[in-house]
Amino acid sequence: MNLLVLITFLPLVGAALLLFAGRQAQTARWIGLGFSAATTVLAFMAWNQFAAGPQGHGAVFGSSPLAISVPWIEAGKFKVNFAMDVDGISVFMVLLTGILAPIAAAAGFGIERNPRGFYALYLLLLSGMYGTFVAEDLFLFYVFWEVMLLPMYFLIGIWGGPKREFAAIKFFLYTLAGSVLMLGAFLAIYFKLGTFDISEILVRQADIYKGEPATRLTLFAALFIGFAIKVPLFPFHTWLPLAHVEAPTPISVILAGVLLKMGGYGLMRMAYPWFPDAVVTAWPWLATLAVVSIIYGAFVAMAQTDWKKLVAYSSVSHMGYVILGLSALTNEGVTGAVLQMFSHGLLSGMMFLLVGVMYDQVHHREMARFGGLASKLPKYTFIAMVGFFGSLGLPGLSGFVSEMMVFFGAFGSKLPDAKLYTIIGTIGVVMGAVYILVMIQKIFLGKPKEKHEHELHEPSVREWLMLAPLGVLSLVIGVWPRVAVDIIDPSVRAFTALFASHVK
Amino acid sequence: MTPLLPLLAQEAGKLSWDRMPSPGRIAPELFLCLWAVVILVVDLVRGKGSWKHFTTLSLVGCAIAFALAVFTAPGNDAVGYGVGSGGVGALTPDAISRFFKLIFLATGFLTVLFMRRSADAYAREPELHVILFGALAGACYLAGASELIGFYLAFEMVSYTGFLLAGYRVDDPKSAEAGGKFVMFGAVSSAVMLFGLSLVYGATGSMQFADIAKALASQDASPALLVASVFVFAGFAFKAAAFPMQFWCPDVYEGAPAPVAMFLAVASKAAVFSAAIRVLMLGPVTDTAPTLTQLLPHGATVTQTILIFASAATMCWGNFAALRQTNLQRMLAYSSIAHAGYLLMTAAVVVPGAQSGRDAVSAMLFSFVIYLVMSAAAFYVVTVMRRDAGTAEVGALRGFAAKHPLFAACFALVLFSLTGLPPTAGFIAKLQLFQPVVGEGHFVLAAIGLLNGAVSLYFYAKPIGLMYLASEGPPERTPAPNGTDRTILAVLSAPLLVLGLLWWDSILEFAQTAVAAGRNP
Repeated sequence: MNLLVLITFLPLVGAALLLFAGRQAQTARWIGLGFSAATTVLAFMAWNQFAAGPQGHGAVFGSSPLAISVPWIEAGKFKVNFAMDVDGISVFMVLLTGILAPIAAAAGFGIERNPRGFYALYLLLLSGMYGTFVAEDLFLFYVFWEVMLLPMYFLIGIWGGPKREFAAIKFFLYTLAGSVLMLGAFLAIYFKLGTFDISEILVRQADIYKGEPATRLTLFAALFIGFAIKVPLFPFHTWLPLAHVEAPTPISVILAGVLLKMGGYGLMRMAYPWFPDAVVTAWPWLATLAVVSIIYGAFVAMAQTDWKKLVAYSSVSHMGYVILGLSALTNEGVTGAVLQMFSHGLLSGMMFLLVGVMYDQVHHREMARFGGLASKLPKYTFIAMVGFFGSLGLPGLSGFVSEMMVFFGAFGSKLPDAKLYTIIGTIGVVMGAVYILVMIQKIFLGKPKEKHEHELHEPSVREWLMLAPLGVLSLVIGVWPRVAVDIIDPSVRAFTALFASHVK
Repeated sequence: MTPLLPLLAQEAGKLSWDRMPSPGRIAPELFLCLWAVVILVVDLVRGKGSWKHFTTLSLVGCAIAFALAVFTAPGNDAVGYGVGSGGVGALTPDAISRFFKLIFLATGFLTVLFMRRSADAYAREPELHVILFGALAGACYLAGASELIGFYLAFEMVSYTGFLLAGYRVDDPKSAEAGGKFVMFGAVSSAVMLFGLSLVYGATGSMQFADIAKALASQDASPALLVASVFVFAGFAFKAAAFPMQFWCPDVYEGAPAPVAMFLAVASKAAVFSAAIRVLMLGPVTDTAPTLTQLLPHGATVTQTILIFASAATMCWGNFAALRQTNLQRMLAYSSIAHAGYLLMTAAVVVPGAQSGRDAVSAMLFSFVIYLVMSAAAFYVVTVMRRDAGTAEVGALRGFAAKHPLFAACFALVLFSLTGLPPTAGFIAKLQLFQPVVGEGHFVLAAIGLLNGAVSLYFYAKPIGLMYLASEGPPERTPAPNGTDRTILAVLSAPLLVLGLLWWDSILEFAQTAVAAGRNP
């Protein structure tokens, strides 16, 4: 059985199993965790198989030994293949999903309300996420992309916080608005090329409305907005804080850790390589949006009093780096963007878990009501420092490596005014340090504000098992980034090579 | 499964009787008329008192007519009283018309079934069935009409039976109001349309669609023809509930019994589109025939512009007005307006004679099948709601999912399908409808349509939110579906999921073959 097919549909099997078994809460939880962990194993196997090949193989999407393609739907000239594959970038994203899947599943153990339904939807969501990262056919991609929305709506809407109903529908509407624009662009491309195959479209991208730069720019814009809503990039980010804050902890982890990466992945896989000329034309806009996201996200994060909201806005800022690095179209910049996606997946997931662990104990997230946690909970403070300093960009952790590469890449870009944008963007690093340090000061330092010594306790074994792997992985990438860079590098080079003739 | 349907669509398929005599080719229509008489006679013989077997009788009638439609070979030569030469007549039961007939008859079957389940007090139930069969016969005739008088008669037959059905529950003031409104506006729009048709006759001197098309080809556009085409379009727009003639629709659909509203939303609308495909856009079906779109001074572009604006306005009006609705039946009325807008959009961009025109028509045929299933399922939920909770207000669904998980899940699936989300059949239908629009380069129109889909999520998700997410307790009276209700809804909604992933290519291929084999005007 093809590994990619297996990893995509195994969670569905788990969801189906839950419909029949799992009346007992504990059974449902373990089925959820078990199937999530099984996908982790498969994700590492996929990574291993991909990495085991000769140097540089599978650099271009559609050519790896894991590929599968069978005819699926045929009606007249309307043909859809069931095609899946990975390249260096998507195998990395699959790995990220695999790492976060069991961690988020474990984070859901505290959920008391209908765990069976929760885990069935969670596994459906997993299926959608894996499918999106490995689909090689646009039709298939779009189906998986939307399949993610449905469980997300229910997961936020049923198990979320007080404003969950509004948060769920707002998230749903925003992302759907983005994806219909995307669908329009897909149809236009399909109509011109007569194929849904992503790798074939890449080869023939120059034929999409050849000689009509304005149309190509329009299509690029439709795709870009569709994905930018998911990233989310300023000014399309307004769904994010609400959804993040209202979602239960495991879903916040998945939302920040994986779903936001879908946007970046889509840009890398489709919007950018299909319309290289449009990217270069739109560069000033792209860079501006990226830089504004970085700085705006950081400023808004600084103004928050709610701990979880601060973490949520930090995502806007950090995903801005991804767009900046990607738009720079240099090897360093794109590598940095991919690493930043991975690093942000680990660290934002970790931060949401940290907030969740504390919320479970004190049932509020007001930073002003915390204080002096460092003296009371030294172990929790230690692991929290790993997460927050990693996010701040402390050397030795993954955030530093990826942000540095993004800035190096952007600074070295030949695109106009690249250096100016980069320099403005670095302000975001300073702002990032400010809001993280202020938050640490409020929560961990100083004197306790409220008397809840008797209720506070260090993380449990389960919570350690969730937090520690993320911290360790962040450290590994921070110290030895080559484990990742070697895998993604050929794909990144293939990506930037597409733009060589357009960047003067 | 796959080869059977396309085979049926081919002219003189193997399953048909070879060289049937002329009346045999309109067997479904004849049978429907006959069955209406049978029901009347049975009712007379039985005298007063209710008899539940009328439902069975009607269901059997629909099933037999369906089978007749399947097994009657379509052909492109006409039957009937026509005076034209070369076998041209009033009615041409071709492959496209058969496709529509199957849709009408399936809708009729479901309507009868839902009426049984609705437990609304229908005084003189048999009469209702007779009217329904009349409507079905009219719709089947309309789908094959190839001549002005026959076309108008069939059109009116569908209209008048619709008036009666909508206002049938005289004890219910809302139903009576619905019928009254429908008659008022309907009569005016019919008159306007008839005037337009008479102008066409005056200008061309023929009743036959084929002759009209020929005559129009050799004529320059004149103001009379401009007026004619606008008037004819108005008549269609009224029946299809397209902007700017959509105002009657929500009131009528809300006031009518839920099964009747379903019939109006699916069968009547499909009947109108089946005729509109012939009259407004004959072009795409054939390569050579001129079209009414050529009536206008600047050729097809002006008509196309009118249609494009009408379609954009129709879907926007339907979706945005639906946002504020709290009555599910009324919301579905707006939803049906929006869907008419999507269909009109695909009709609008068609380039006569091109392959994309054929694709557009087959896309419309295909999406009617999906729309039938979706609407039937949605209106069935309304039927159950009105029966058990006495209201169609969405509030009655609060906390519904906890008590009836299967029913709620099926309904949620139907609503997602109406929104057009994958992996449901609604997505496939939308994909097919938008493909020609994007292909012809109407990016703005496509963007409006697609964004409308996102807007529609807001109101389609409202019942889902109430069923699953609502935090307050359930209201006093909630729908209480029993085993039969669950089965019916499950049977109706399961194909939406399956067709979203598998086998829909065979239906699409069926539609494509039907269009390819369809007749000249």
